[in-house]
Amino acid sequence: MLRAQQGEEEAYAELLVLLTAATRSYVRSRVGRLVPWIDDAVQETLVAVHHARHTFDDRRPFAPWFYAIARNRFVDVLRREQRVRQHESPGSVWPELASATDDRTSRVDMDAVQQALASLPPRQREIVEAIKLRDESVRDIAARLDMTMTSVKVTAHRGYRTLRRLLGVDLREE
Amino acid sequence: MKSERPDLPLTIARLVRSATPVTPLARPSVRLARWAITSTALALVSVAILGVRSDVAAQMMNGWFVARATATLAIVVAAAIVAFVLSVPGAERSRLVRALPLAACLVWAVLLVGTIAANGSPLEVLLQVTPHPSCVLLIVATALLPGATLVRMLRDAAPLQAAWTAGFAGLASLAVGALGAQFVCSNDAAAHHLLWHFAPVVLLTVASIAVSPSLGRPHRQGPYST
Repeated sequence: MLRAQQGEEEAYAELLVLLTAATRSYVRSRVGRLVPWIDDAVQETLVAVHHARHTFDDRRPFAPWFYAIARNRFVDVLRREQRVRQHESPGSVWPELASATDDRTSRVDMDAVQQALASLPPRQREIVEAIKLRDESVRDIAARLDMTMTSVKVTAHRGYRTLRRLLGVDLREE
Repeated sequence: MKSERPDLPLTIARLVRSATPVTPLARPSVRLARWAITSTALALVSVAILGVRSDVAAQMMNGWFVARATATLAIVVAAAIVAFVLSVPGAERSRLVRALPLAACLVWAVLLVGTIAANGSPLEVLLQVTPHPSCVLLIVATALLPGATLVRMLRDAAPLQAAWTAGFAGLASLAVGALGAQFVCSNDAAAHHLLWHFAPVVLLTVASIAVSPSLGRPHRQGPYST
Protein backbone atom coordinates (compact mmCIF):
# COMPACT_ATOMS: atom_id res chain seq x y z
CA MET A 1 0.00 0.00 0.00
CA LEU A 2 2.85 2.34 0.78
CA ARG A 3 4.30 1.77 -2.68
CA ALA A 4 0.84 2.28 -4.13
CA GLN A 5 0.60 5.60 -2.30
CA GLN A 6 3.84 6.57 -3.99
CA GLY A 7 2.30 5.87 -7.38
CA GLU A 8 4.01 2.54 -8.16
CA GLU A 9 1.64 1.01 -10.66
CA GLU A 10 2.92 -2.55 -10.41
CA ALA A 11 2.58 -2.65 -6.63
CA TYR A 12 -0.85 -1.09 -6.84
CA ALA A 13 -2.01 -3.66 -9.40
CA GLU A 14 -0.78 -6.49 -7.17
CA LEU A 15 -2.55 -4.96 -4.19
CA LEU A 16 -5.85 -4.57 -6.05
CA VAL A 17 -5.73 -8.19 -7.20
CA LEU A 18 -5.16 -9.29 -3.61
CA LEU A 19 -7.97 -7.05 -2.40
CA THR A 20 -10.30 -8.49 -5.05
CA ALA A 21 -9.84 -11.94 -3.55
CA ALA A 22 -10.11 -10.60 0.00
CA THR A 23 -13.35 -8.75 -0.79
CA ARG A 24 -14.88 -11.79 -2.49
CA SER A 25 -14.02 -13.88 0.51
CA TYR A 26 -15.42 -11.24 2.86
CA VAL A 27 -18.73 -11.00 0.99
CA ARG A 28 -19.06 -14.77 0.87
CA SER A 29 -18.43 -15.01 4.60
CA ARG A 30 -21.07 -12.36 5.26
CA VAL A 31 -23.85 -13.74 3.07
CA GLY A 32 -22.88 -17.39 3.40
CA ARG A 33 -23.35 -18.16 -0.27
CA LEU A 34 -22.41 -17.03 -3.75
CA VAL A 35 -24.46 -14.01 -4.81
CA PRO A 36 -24.75 -12.55 -8.30
CA TRP A 37 -23.80 -9.07 -7.13
CA ILE A 38 -20.49 -10.10 -5.61
CA ASP A 39 -18.53 -8.42 -8.38
CA ASP A 40 -20.47 -5.20 -7.82
CA ALA A 41 -19.35 -5.25 -4.19
CA VAL A 42 -15.76 -5.99 -5.20
CA GLN A 43 -15.73 -3.25 -7.79
CA GLU A 44 -17.19 -0.66 -5.43
CA THR A 45 -14.73 -1.64 -2.72
CA LEU A 46 -11.77 -1.26 -5.07
CA VAL A 47 -12.95 2.17 -6.19
CA ALA A 48 -13.50 3.23 -2.57
CA VAL A 49 -10.01 1.98 -1.65
CA HIS A 50 -8.66 4.00 -4.56
CA HIS A 51 -10.36 7.20 -3.39
CA ALA A 52 -9.34 6.63 0.23
CA ARG A 53 -5.78 5.42 -0.33
CA HIS A 54 -4.31 8.69 0.97
CA THR A 55 -5.97 8.05 4.36
CA PHE A 56 -3.99 4.88 5.05
CA ASP A 57 -1.48 5.50 7.82
CA ASP A 58 1.53 3.17 7.77
CA ARG A 59 1.74 3.35 11.57
CA ARG A 60 -1.54 1.51 11.76
CA PRO A 61 -2.41 -2.00 10.53
CA PHE A 62 -3.80 -2.34 7.04
CA ALA A 63 -6.58 -4.84 7.76
CA PRO A 64 -8.87 -2.61 9.91
CA TRP A 65 -8.52 0.17 7.35
CA PHE A 66 -9.36 -2.09 4.41
CA TYR A 67 -12.17 -4.03 6.09
CA ALA A 68 -13.84 -0.81 7.28
CA ILE A 69 -14.10 0.18 3.62
CA ALA A 70 -15.12 -3.30 2.48
CA ARG A 71 -17.81 -3.53 5.16
CA ASN A 72 -19.15 -0.08 4.26
CA ARG A 73 -19.38 -0.87 0.55
CA PHE A 74 -20.80 -4.34 1.24
CA VAL A 75 -23.61 -2.89 3.37
CA ASP A 76 -24.40 -0.29 0.70
CA VAL A 77 -24.49 -2.80 -2.13
CA LEU A 78 -26.53 -5.24 -0.05
CA ARG A 79 -29.10 -2.56 0.81
CA ARG A 80 -29.31 -1.49 -2.83
CA GLU A 81 -29.83 -5.05 -4.00
CA GLN A 82 -32.52 -5.61 -1.37
CA ARG A 83 -34.23 -2.38 -2.42
CA VAL A 84 -34.17 -3.37 -6.07
CA ARG A 85 -35.52 -6.83 -5.22
CA GLN A 86 -38.30 -5.33 -3.10
CA HIS A 87 -39.42 -2.86 -5.74
CA GLU A 88 -38.97 -4.84 -8.86
CA SER A 89 -37.25 -7.74 -10.35
CA PRO A 90 -37.12 -6.41 -13.90
CA GLY A 91 -35.56 -9.55 -15.29
CA SER A 92 -38.52 -11.53 -14.06
CA VAL A 93 -41.03 -9.19 -15.69
CA TRP A 94 -39.78 -8.92 -19.22
CA PRO A 95 -39.45 -12.60 -19.99
CA GLU A 96 -43.04 -13.02 -18.89
CA LEU A 97 -44.05 -10.27 -21.29
CA ALA A 98 -42.03 -11.62 -24.13
CA SER A 99 -42.57 -15.32 -23.71
CA ALA A 100 -45.52 -16.60 -25.69
CA THR A 101 -45.17 -19.97 -24.09
CA ASP A 102 -45.93 -18.81 -20.60
CA ASP A 103 -49.56 -19.44 -19.70
CA ARG A 104 -50.05 -16.21 -17.81
CA THR A 105 -48.64 -14.05 -20.58
CA SER A 106 -49.75 -15.89 -23.64
CA ARG A 107 -52.46 -13.25 -23.99
CA VAL A 108 -49.82 -10.60 -24.58
CA ASP A 109 -49.57 -9.71 -28.21
CA MET A 110 -46.00 -8.80 -29.20
CA ASP A 111 -47.36 -6.07 -31.47
CA ALA A 112 -48.99 -4.57 -28.41
CA VAL A 113 -45.67 -4.81 -26.62
CA GLN A 114 -43.99 -2.92 -29.45
CA GLN A 115 -46.73 -0.28 -29.37
CA ALA A 116 -46.40 0.05 -25.61
CA LEU A 117 -42.63 0.37 -25.99
CA ALA A 118 -43.08 3.13 -28.53
CA SER A 119 -45.26 5.06 -26.13
CA LEU A 120 -42.60 5.14 -23.41
CA PRO A 121 -40.67 8.34 -22.84
CA PRO A 122 -37.50 8.29 -25.01
CA ARG A 123 -35.05 7.63 -22.19
CA GLN A 124 -37.14 4.85 -20.66
CA ARG A 125 -37.60 3.26 -24.09
CA GLU A 126 -33.90 3.50 -24.85
CA ILE A 127 -32.94 1.82 -21.57
CA VAL A 128 -35.57 -0.91 -21.74
CA GLU A 129 -34.63 -1.73 -25.35
CA ALA A 130 -30.94 -1.64 -24.54
CA ILE A 131 -31.32 -4.08 -21.66
CA LYS A 132 -33.87 -6.43 -23.13
CA LEU A 133 -33.42 -6.28 -26.88
CA ARG A 134 -29.77 -5.43 -27.34
CA ASP A 135 -28.58 -7.27 -24.22
CA GLU A 136 -26.41 -4.38 -23.04
CA SER A 137 -25.23 -4.37 -19.44
CA VAL A 138 -26.45 -1.70 -17.05
CA ARG A 139 -22.87 -0.55 -16.62
CA ASP A 140 -22.43 0.01 -20.36
CA ILE A 141 -25.76 1.81 -20.63
CA ALA A 142 -24.87 4.04 -17.70
CA ALA A 143 -21.55 4.92 -19.32
CA ARG A 144 -23.12 5.54 -22.73
CA LEU A 145 -25.98 7.70 -21.42
CA ASP A 146 -23.86 9.42 -18.78
CA MET A 147 -26.07 8.17 -15.96
CA THR A 148 -25.38 6.33 -12.74
CA MET A 149 -26.10 2.61 -12.63
CA THR A 150 -28.77 3.24 -10.02
CA SER A 151 -30.49 5.78 -12.29
CA VAL A 152 -30.46 3.29 -15.14
CA LYS A 153 -32.04 0.64 -12.90
CA VAL A 154 -34.67 3.06 -11.62
CA THR A 155 -35.51 4.27 -15.14
CA ALA A 156 -35.74 0.67 -16.32
CA HIS A 157 -38.03 -0.13 -13.41
CA ARG A 158 -40.31 2.77 -14.34
CA GLY A 159 -40.35 1.59 -17.92
CA TYR A 160 -41.34 -1.95 -16.92
CA ARG A 161 -44.05 -0.60 -14.65
CA THR A 162 -45.47 1.58 -17.43
CA LEU A 163 -45.38 -1.37 -19.83
CA ARG A 164 -47.30 -3.57 -17.45
CA ARG A 165 -49.89 -0.86 -16.95
CA LEU A 166 -50.24 -0.23 -20.70
CA LEU A 167 -50.52 -3.93 -21.45
CA GLY A 168 -52.89 -4.57 -18.60
CA VAL A 169 -50.84 -7.56 -17.53
CA ASP A 170 -51.28 -8.71 -14.02
CA LEU A 171 -47.82 -9.93 -13.25
CA ARG A 172 -46.75 -11.17 -9.92
CA GLU A 173 -43.54 -9.46 -8.78
CA GLU A 174 -40.99 -11.80 -7.42
CA MET B 1 -32.62 -7.99 -15.38
CA LYS B 2 -29.48 -9.33 -16.90
CA SER B 3 -26.80 -9.57 -14.29
CA GLU B 4 -24.22 -6.86 -14.66
CA ARG B 5 -20.83 -8.25 -15.29
CA PRO B 6 -18.36 -5.65 -14.12
CA ASP B 7 -15.13 -6.16 -15.89
CA LEU B 8 -12.88 -6.29 -12.87
CA PRO B 9 -9.58 -6.52 -14.75
CA LEU B 10 -10.60 -3.44 -16.72
CA THR B 11 -11.51 -1.60 -13.51
CA ILE B 12 -8.21 -2.57 -11.91
CA ALA B 13 -6.36 -1.42 -15.00
CA ARG B 14 -8.16 1.93 -14.92
CA LEU B 15 -7.48 2.40 -11.22
CA VAL B 16 -3.81 1.51 -11.67
CA ARG B 17 -3.47 3.94 -14.57
CA SER B 18 -4.87 6.74 -12.42
CA ALA B 19 -2.77 5.88 -9.37
CA THR B 20 -0.85 9.09 -9.07
CA PRO B 21 1.28 9.52 -5.94
CA VAL B 22 -0.74 10.75 -3.00
CA THR B 23 0.29 12.60 0.12
CA PRO B 24 -0.76 10.55 3.13
CA LEU B 25 -3.28 12.32 5.29
CA ALA B 26 -2.00 13.64 8.63
CA ARG B 27 -3.09 11.85 11.78
CA PRO B 28 -6.46 12.85 13.29
CA SER B 29 -4.69 14.50 16.25
CA VAL B 30 -2.60 16.69 13.93
CA ARG B 31 -5.64 17.64 11.89
CA LEU B 32 -7.56 18.36 15.08
CA ALA B 33 -4.78 20.70 16.24
CA ARG B 34 -4.79 22.50 12.88
CA TRP B 35 -8.56 22.92 13.02
CA ALA B 36 -8.44 24.07 16.64
CA ILE B 37 -5.94 26.80 15.82
CA THR B 38 -7.86 27.93 12.74
CA SER B 39 -11.26 27.85 14.39
CA THR B 40 -10.02 29.68 17.49
CA ALA B 41 -8.70 32.46 15.28
CA LEU B 42 -11.93 32.58 13.28
CA ALA B 43 -14.10 32.56 16.40
CA LEU B 44 -12.03 35.35 17.96
CA VAL B 45 -12.46 37.47 14.84
CA SER B 46 -16.22 36.78 14.83
CA VAL B 47 -16.56 37.68 18.52
CA ALA B 48 -14.52 40.85 18.02
CA ILE B 49 -16.75 41.87 15.11
CA LEU B 50 -19.97 41.02 16.95
CA GLY B 51 -18.86 42.91 20.07
CA VAL B 52 -17.32 41.48 23.23
CA ARG B 53 -19.42 41.97 26.36
CA SER B 54 -18.15 44.81 28.53
CA ASP B 55 -17.64 42.74 31.69
CA VAL B 56 -15.67 39.93 30.06
CA ALA B 57 -12.61 40.42 32.27
CA ALA B 58 -14.70 40.08 35.43
CA GLN B 59 -16.58 37.09 34.01
CA MET B 60 -13.33 35.20 33.50
CA MET B 61 -13.14 34.98 37.30
CA ASN B 62 -16.81 34.03 37.62
CA GLY B 63 -17.29 30.32 38.38
CA TRP B 64 -20.66 30.10 36.62
CA PHE B 65 -19.23 31.63 33.43
CA VAL B 66 -16.14 29.41 33.55
CA ALA B 67 -18.24 26.27 34.17
CA ARG B 68 -20.41 26.96 31.12
CA ALA B 69 -17.39 27.79 28.98
CA THR B 70 -15.65 24.60 30.10
CA ALA B 71 -18.70 22.49 29.28
CA THR B 72 -19.00 23.92 25.76
CA LEU B 73 -15.25 23.64 25.21
CA ALA B 74 -15.41 19.98 26.21
CA ILE B 75 -18.13 19.45 23.59
CA VAL B 76 -16.03 21.20 20.94
CA VAL B 77 -12.99 19.03 21.61
CA ALA B 78 -14.86 15.73 22.03
CA ALA B 79 -17.05 16.21 18.95
CA ALA B 80 -14.14 17.33 16.77
CA ILE B 81 -11.98 14.38 17.87
CA VAL B 82 -14.75 11.92 17.01
CA ALA B 83 -15.44 13.62 13.67
CA PHE B 84 -11.76 13.42 12.66
CA VAL B 85 -11.48 9.81 13.82
CA LEU B 86 -14.62 8.86 11.87
CA SER B 87 -13.21 10.45 8.74
CA VAL B 88 -10.47 7.82 8.51
CA PRO B 89 -11.55 4.25 7.67
CA GLY B 90 -10.88 1.84 10.51
CA ALA B 91 -9.52 4.50 12.88
CA GLU B 92 -12.45 4.20 15.28
CA ARG B 93 -11.38 1.50 17.75
CA SER B 94 -14.67 1.43 19.63
CA ARG B 95 -18.08 2.88 18.97
CA LEU B 96 -18.10 4.00 22.58
CA VAL B 97 -16.02 7.05 21.63
CA ARG B 98 -19.16 8.44 20.04
CA ALA B 99 -20.66 8.69 23.50
CA LEU B 100 -18.04 11.23 24.61
CA PRO B 101 -19.49 14.31 22.89
CA LEU B 102 -22.99 13.24 23.90
CA ALA B 103 -21.83 12.92 27.51
CA ALA B 104 -20.32 16.41 27.31
CA CYS B 105 -23.68 17.70 26.00
CA LEU B 106 -25.38 16.00 28.91
CA VAL B 107 -23.03 17.71 31.37
CA TRP B 108 -23.88 21.10 29.83
CA ALA B 109 -27.62 20.34 30.03
CA VAL B 110 -27.38 19.09 33.62
CA LEU B 111 -25.40 22.19 34.57
CA LEU B 112 -28.12 24.46 33.19
CA VAL B 113 -31.14 22.46 34.36
CA GLY B 114 -29.59 21.97 37.80
CA THR B 115 -29.05 25.70 38.19
CA ILE B 116 -32.62 26.44 37.08
CA ALA B 117 -34.03 23.84 39.47
CA ALA B 118 -31.99 25.27 42.33
CA ASN B 119 -33.60 28.66 41.82
CA GLY B 120 -37.27 27.60 41.92
CA SER B 121 -39.79 25.80 39.76
CA PRO B 122 -38.06 25.06 36.43
CA LEU B 123 -41.26 25.38 34.40
CA GLU B 124 -42.08 28.80 35.81
CA VAL B 125 -38.54 30.00 35.24
CA LEU B 126 -38.53 28.75 31.66
CA LEU B 127 -41.91 30.35 30.91
CA GLN B 128 -40.53 33.71 32.01
CA VAL B 129 -37.64 33.61 29.55
CA THR B 130 -37.98 36.29 26.90
CA PRO B 131 -37.22 35.28 23.30
CA HIS B 132 -33.66 35.98 22.16
CA PRO B 133 -33.35 34.81 18.56
CA SER B 134 -30.34 37.10 18.23
CA CYS B 135 -28.40 34.58 20.34
CA VAL B 136 -29.18 31.87 17.77
CA LEU B 137 -27.88 34.13 15.02
CA LEU B 138 -24.82 34.85 17.14
CA ILE B 139 -24.11 31.14 17.55
CA VAL B 140 -24.61 30.44 13.85
CA ALA B 141 -22.49 33.43 12.78
CA THR B 142 -19.62 32.33 15.01
CA ALA B 143 -19.95 28.67 14.02
CA LEU B 144 -20.13 29.22 10.28
CA LEU B 145 -16.45 29.57 9.34
CA PRO B 146 -15.08 26.99 11.80
CA GLY B 147 -17.80 24.64 10.55
CA ALA B 148 -16.96 25.22 6.88
CA THR B 149 -13.27 24.63 7.66
CA LEU B 150 -14.09 21.42 9.48
CA VAL B 151 -16.30 20.10 6.69
CA ARG B 152 -13.57 20.83 4.15
CA MET B 153 -10.98 19.03 6.28
CA LEU B 154 -13.26 16.03 6.74
CA ARG B 155 -13.97 15.82 3.03
CA ASP B 156 -10.22 15.71 2.44
CA ALA B 157 -10.29 12.40 4.29
CA ALA B 158 -12.72 9.56 3.56
CA PRO B 159 -15.63 9.54 6.01
CA LEU B 160 -17.53 6.29 5.57
CA GLN B 161 -20.34 7.11 7.98
CA ALA B 162 -21.36 10.45 6.60
CA ALA B 163 -24.35 11.08 8.88
CA TRP B 164 -22.43 10.47 12.10
CA THR B 165 -19.45 12.48 10.86
CA ALA B 166 -21.64 15.38 9.79
CA GLY B 167 -23.50 15.30 13.10
CA PHE B 168 -20.32 15.51 15.14
CA ALA B 169 -18.85 18.15 12.83
CA GLY B 170 -22.03 20.18 13.27
CA LEU B 171 -21.93 19.73 17.03
CA ALA B 172 -18.27 20.77 17.25
CA SER B 173 -18.84 23.89 15.13
CA LEU B 174 -22.03 24.91 16.90
CA ALA B 175 -20.37 24.44 20.26
CA VAL B 176 -17.64 26.81 19.04
CA GLY B 177 -20.49 29.19 18.22
CA ALA B 178 -22.02 28.76 21.67
CA LEU B 179 -18.66 29.34 23.31
CA GLY B 180 -18.13 32.49 21.29
CA ALA B 181 -21.67 33.67 22.00
CA GLN B 182 -20.95 33.47 25.70
CA PHE B 183 -18.37 36.24 25.24
CA VAL B 184 -20.91 38.43 23.43
CA CYS B 185 -24.27 37.73 25.12
CA SER B 186 -24.42 39.38 28.55
CA ASN B 187 -27.42 37.37 29.73
CA ASP B 188 -26.06 34.76 32.14
CA ALA B 189 -29.39 33.30 33.26
CA ALA B 190 -29.39 29.52 33.12
CA ALA B 191 -32.88 29.42 31.62
CA HIS B 192 -31.83 31.79 28.85
CA HIS B 193 -28.81 29.61 28.10
CA LEU B 194 -30.90 26.45 28.11
CA LEU B 195 -33.51 27.79 25.67
CA TRP B 196 -31.44 30.12 23.48
CA HIS B 197 -27.96 28.59 23.54
CA PHE B 198 -28.20 24.89 24.38
CA ALA B 199 -31.45 24.05 22.53
CA PRO B 200 -30.41 25.73 19.24
CA VAL B 201 -27.09 23.88 19.33
CA VAL B 202 -28.88 20.56 19.72
CA LEU B 203 -31.51 21.30 17.07
CA LEU B 204 -29.02 22.66 14.54
CA THR B 205 -26.76 19.68 15.14
CA VAL B 206 -29.60 17.39 14.16
CA ALA B 207 -30.20 19.59 11.11
CA SER B 208 -26.52 19.38 10.17
CA ILE B 209 -26.95 15.68 9.53
CA ALA B 210 -28.88 16.78 6.45
CA VAL B 211 -25.61 17.92 4.87
CA SER B 212 -24.12 14.46 5.35
CA PRO B 213 -24.44 13.42 1.69
CA SER B 214 -21.93 16.13 0.75
CA LEU B 215 -19.43 14.56 3.14
CA GLY B 216 -19.70 11.25 1.36
CA ARG B 217 -18.42 12.64 -1.91
CA PRO B 218 -14.66 12.61 -2.09
CA HIS B 219 -13.26 16.12 -2.18
CA ARG B 220 -9.99 14.95 -3.67
CA GLN B 221 -11.33 13.67 -6.93
CA GLY B 222 -8.80 11.56 -8.69
CA PRO B 223 -8.67 11.19 -12.45
CA TYR B 224 -10.69 8.00 -12.13
CA SER B 225 -14.08 8.44 -10.64
CA THR B 226 -17.24 6.49 -10.85
